[in-house]
Amino acid sequence: MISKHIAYLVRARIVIKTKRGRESVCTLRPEAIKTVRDWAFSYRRFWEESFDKLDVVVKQMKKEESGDDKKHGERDRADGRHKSF
Amino acid sequence: MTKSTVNETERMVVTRVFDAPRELVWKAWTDPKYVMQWWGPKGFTASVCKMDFRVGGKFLICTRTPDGQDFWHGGEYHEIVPHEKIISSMYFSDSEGNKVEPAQLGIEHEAIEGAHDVILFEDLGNGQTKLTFIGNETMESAKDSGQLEGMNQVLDKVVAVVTKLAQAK
Repeated sequence: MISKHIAYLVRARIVIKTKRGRESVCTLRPEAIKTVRDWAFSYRRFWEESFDKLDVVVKQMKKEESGDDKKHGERDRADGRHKSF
Repeated sequence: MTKSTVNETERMVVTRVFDAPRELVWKAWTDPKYVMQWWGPKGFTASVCKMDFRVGGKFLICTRTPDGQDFWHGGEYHEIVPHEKIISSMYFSDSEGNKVEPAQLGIEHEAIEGAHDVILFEDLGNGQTKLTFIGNETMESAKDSGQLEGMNQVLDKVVAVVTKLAQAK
């Protein structure tokens, strides 16, 4: 039933229903859609931009880790041990 | 349109490929020392980050906006599959981690009750890791997500073994 769908939209304040005699007139509230869009936009931005920063952190971690490897390598050589390739 | 495209639009999905091994991306996500460095959008910082990273454990993060306003986020870990998957929830909280209704903070945001976030870590096999963030899932569908990827990885392994066997012949 379409009236059930409309009832949900009215409850969500996306649609306003006004009675005109036997007819019901439905008006869309675009500003309600905007609220949802704004929320979705900021939510997505939160994670997209966090991921941008995470990329920088991960790159730094990778650098540090390879730096550690180099140190291990040097120590290995100092111990007279050889890496076999 | 394919089915997966429809899913992408229905859910809040953010994916990113990192040029780093999966263990490293996992570490960056699960160690507060690193989380503090990347948490939040551009210009935002995390001034506090406490994480009790285990199933049933909670986290508490203070997000500072560029104009110096503090927002506390609390959350809980519901499922942890090491190096593969995390299911967690997040909500606005006070500085003690107690749940606060967003309206009390003047935020026009109705939190969906029982919504969970799913974070998937996928080893692309070339030193790269694909991270997928799926927001606002019900626990039921959160549990199912990632299983397809897991299945694909198993299949990849099978293919590798089969190829090796074929070459050995």
